Amino acid sequence: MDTIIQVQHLKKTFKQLEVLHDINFDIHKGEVATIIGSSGSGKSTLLRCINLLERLDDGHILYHGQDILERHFDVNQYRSKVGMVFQGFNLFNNLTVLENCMIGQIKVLKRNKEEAKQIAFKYLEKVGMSAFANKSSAQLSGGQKQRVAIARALCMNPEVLLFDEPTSALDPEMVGDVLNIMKELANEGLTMIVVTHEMEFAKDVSSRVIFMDQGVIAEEGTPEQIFEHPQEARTQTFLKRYLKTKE
Amino acid sequence: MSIDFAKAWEIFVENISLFSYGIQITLLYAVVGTVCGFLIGLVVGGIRAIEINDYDSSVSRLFKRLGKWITSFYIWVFRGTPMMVQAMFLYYLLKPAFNWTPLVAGLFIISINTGAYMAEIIRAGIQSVDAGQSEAAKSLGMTTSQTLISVIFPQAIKNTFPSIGNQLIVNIKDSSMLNVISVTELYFQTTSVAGSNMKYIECFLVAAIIYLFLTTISTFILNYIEKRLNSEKQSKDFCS
Repeated sequence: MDTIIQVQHLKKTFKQLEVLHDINFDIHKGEVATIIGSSGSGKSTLLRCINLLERLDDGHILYHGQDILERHFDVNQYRSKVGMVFQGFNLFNNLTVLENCMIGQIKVLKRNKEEAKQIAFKYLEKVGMSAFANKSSAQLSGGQKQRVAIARALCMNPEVLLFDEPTSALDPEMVGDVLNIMKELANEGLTMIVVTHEMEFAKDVSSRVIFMDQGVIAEEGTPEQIFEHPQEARTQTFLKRYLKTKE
Repeated sequence: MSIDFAKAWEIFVENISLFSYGIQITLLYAVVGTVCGFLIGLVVGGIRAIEINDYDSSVSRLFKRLGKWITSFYIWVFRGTPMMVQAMFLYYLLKPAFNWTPLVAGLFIISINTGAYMAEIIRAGIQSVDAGQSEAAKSLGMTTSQTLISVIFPQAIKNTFPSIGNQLIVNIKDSSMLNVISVTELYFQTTSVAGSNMKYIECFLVAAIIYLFLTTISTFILNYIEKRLNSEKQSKDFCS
């Protein structure tokens, strides 16, 4: 299997607080890895480290065997290959839906306007938002914004897409739309790392589940292993608590 | 104490060419000062908004610190002294080097003076833009300058447009201070007219009305632009 990203001995501290200690895992092509765990366990920080939105304090992240922290490594080129979908959508407020999907293609991938527009429409179509192409983001609902944000990321033809709690800021009735799109992408073979609280989604869609607790990977395995036969006591407690709150 | 309105009108009509020249210079100063001050403000405000991070290399931290020191010194000096004093000081200080006319010196002074105010307005504007905006731009692989130009500045400018526009109004009035280096703007012209006919009250009534007229028109224009900026996206919808 083709390894795209390798995280090795990653460590991250905020001031004195160590939020991630010695994180190790690999992401292979076509894999959907979901990261679960309670709030404050370091899931989002880990994802942000992978995209270098946070600096790591120690350890390495390799992209196709190349250290992304290396001095001469082209971070912007790397980021264009490793897309990110945020909890808060972060659509560019000064641009229309269509422009949001075109700007990265034009500025980073140097595609021409016509081509960028075509590709933008293709992915807006895919997320069901092409009718909104000329709207500004202020005119969209949360679910619509997140669908556009996904289209914006897809327009870059990323090798890996990182999702940072993509449905946590959404009204419950909007969550399904976004998850369905993500499911579709997973089925098409897109490599994804998803930080989520949606256990059903993690169970159904992921090829691997990573359970994090207090800054370490407490347990990882197939969805079956984690959800049906968790080995660690912490995993069991977390899942039990989750099931309880659901009832 | 009495104001002879008919006399004031007469003075205005008689000296219309002097007044209209003064108006032109005043407007030139207001517009050039605001536009150049705005450009200076973009650069200086941009430097002021740069964050110094723990992980920056010591060289880049040094440059960032240096940039901040220089820009805060500039703002400190130019906001902390009267433009009249700046004008006298800089005009005579740099006259041997540049051999400049009052007109050029005045444009330079009003621009750097406005720049100091603009820098603080724009810094605040940049900091008012949500951090998620630049994170999203970074996540697409955009460089810092691409992010600033395409995402951050447009939003910062829109958010602070009322304050930026206000500088135009301020400059229409404050350009009068440049009479100290004999820039022939409206106030200077008025003193010349008053000096010849000794009708100070009527002459300055004319000047006051002209200033009020200029600032009122400018306010209307600025309000119009502000409305357009706020409805830009909506109007695009109707076109499509």
